Amino acid sequence: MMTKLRIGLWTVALLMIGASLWFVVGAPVEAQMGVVQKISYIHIPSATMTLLAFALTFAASIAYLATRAWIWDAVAASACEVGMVFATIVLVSGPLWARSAWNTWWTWEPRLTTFLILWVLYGGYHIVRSSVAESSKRTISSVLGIVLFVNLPIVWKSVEWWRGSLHPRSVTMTGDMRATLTFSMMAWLLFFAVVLWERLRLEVLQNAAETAVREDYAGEAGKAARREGVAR
Amino acid sequence: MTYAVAAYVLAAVIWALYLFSLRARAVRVKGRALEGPR
Repeated sequence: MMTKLRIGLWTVALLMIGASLWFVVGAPVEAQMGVVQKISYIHIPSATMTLLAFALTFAASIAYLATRAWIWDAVAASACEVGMVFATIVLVSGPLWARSAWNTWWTWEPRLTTFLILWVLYGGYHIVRSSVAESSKRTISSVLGIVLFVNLPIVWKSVEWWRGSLHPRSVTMTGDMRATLTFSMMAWLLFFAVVLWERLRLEVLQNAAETAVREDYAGEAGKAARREGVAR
Repeated sequence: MTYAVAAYVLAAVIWALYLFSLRARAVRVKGRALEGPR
């Protein structure tokens, strides 16, 4: 049942991504920017999914500290990892657009700088998570997941809070362009959901494997102790 | 045009690599679980 649902969701998500790319090709070419403007159909949804994923990490981290149920930590770590992939795509597609729009690959303007800081800090989440002791991994990750959330409103509001921001605050689009962006947004949202599910499955699998190994160790240790007891 | 195509191709490559890494990790975890304690 779950496998059928999984395959069904993957099919729909990939079909929607395919359709969104088809709409991107057919969407009107923007008068000033030309074809390069079409990068926004992947850049804007990826940026939105990044913020959504990190917000989910924040919520799941709070849920873990409140309930101590391991599944919330798994959701937080999974969302954070998928968010990092979306953030990387934002950082790759942004400069390609900027080269045409601003005549430079990169500039240290507020939105770009704060987003790069966000990417580095959430990358740090994974480094810390993989380096701390197993016993404190979940608690430390959850605290980080909450603390790092402070960056999200800074990235979001950076274009308003600092003067001299080059990054557009909003995008003016015609009806067809807006429809293409809305469809792309829905397609990437569904894709985010299925990839998150897939990543969560891996976390569940890892947890089950670790538990099984621990139980096996306990079993072996118990047998050894009993053997020693009998020998004495 | 080239930049737009490059953005989409790079995005596809990043996703392909990530999904491949997910699959590879799942296979490794399953293998480790079957091996049991060393």
